[in-house]
Amino acid sequence: MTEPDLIAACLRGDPRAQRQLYNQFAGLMLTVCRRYLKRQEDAEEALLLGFAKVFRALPTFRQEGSFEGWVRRIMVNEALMELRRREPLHLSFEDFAQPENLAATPATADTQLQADELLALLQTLPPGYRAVFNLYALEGYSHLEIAEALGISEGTSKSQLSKARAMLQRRLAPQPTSF
Amino acid sequence: MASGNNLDDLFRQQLGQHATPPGEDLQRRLAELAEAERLDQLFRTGLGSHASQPRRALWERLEDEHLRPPARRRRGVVAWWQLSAAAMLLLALLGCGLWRSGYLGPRPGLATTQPVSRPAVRAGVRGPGQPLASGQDQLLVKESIAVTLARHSKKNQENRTTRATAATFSPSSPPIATTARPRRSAPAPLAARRFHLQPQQPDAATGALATTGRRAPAGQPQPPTPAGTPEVPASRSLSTMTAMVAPAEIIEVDVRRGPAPPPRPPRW
Repeated sequence: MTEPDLIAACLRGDPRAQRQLYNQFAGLMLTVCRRYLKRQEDAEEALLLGFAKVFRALPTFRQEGSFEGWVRRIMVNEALMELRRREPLHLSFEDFAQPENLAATPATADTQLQADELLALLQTLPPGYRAVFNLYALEGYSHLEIAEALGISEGTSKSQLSKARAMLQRRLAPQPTSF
Repeated sequence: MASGNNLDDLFRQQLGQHATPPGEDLQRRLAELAEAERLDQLFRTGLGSHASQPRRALWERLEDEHLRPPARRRRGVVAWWQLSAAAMLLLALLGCGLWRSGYLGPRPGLATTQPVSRPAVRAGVRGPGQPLASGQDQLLVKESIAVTLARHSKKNQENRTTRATAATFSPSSPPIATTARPRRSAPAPLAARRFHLQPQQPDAATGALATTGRRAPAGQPQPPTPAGTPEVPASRSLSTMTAMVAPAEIIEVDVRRGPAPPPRPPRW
């Protein structure tokens, strides 16, 4: 079944088509949600609510752009809403603003990390840093869009991104061996 | 002109191929950008197409909480309305049946404790065209009629050979004694029930009483009745009812001796 056929069947309320659409995107979108949310349960909750919104808003999809991109955008919004509910976003913006926490060490360029390790690294970031880094580096949002999405200024978005990168580079640096 | 050309060549030769090494600050910034790009690329490639396997229960939750519940709720509401409508209809039918069979009226035991003449007196006091005072009064009147019918049926069974006369069921016989007596035999409630289940129930207060009594012509054989339920001639029962519920000065009933009743069909 092609994607337009699948969407049309979902619009008709076909349960098998709905299940197929869920199976097609659930794994990918759960990773998206896990990038923003620390706990697996919260990510699954965001996924659940996101899919509910996808099925509800399916008639508004005009099939002009990528369907996966449309679903992903809904999931990102839902993950951000869940992030606001679960983790206080604004408090954590300044938590790691101390100079000692921002010491940057170059990351090993050829670090081959598994996805779960990368997710674990992201989840060590404060929620605000994590959100800005995800939105900018992985979703391709501009700082203006990030500022609108998170309710912060553009400058704050830039500084949060810089600090997030610095923290990740420091965590990716090989630990010095002590003799 | 020559000196001007020489000056241009000089600068071209000295600066054209010259590479100025960047300063330390610029070098550091460029390195940071490269590192940032590499970092972003690392996460982009590592997580961009990664799929985590959600738990199976998640789809069931999605179905139960978001995809199917409206339809189920609608079905439930429809079923609830259908059930309630059916229950209401059943209750209405049951109540109607009970009312028509007289089960909702006062019991014979209650009739003995109450002044039994009350319905008869009320029926007598009221005018010919006036309706009954209330539903309970109607029920009391019906109950008294039914008991009298049952008593008369039993008496008719005992004296089958003798001809009933108008004096036997004259209006002068006190209805108090008949209505106050409790039911003693099994055929009595059956006869009463049969009377109440007649499709055109006679009303003591209206003139329909006399007309309903003529429904069974004398020449036609009576339909067979169930065993154990004595047959009561319609004219006789109607005269009895008239005597019970209305005094002679209100509704005059002329009972005449007629020809011999037609032979009864064989009982079965």
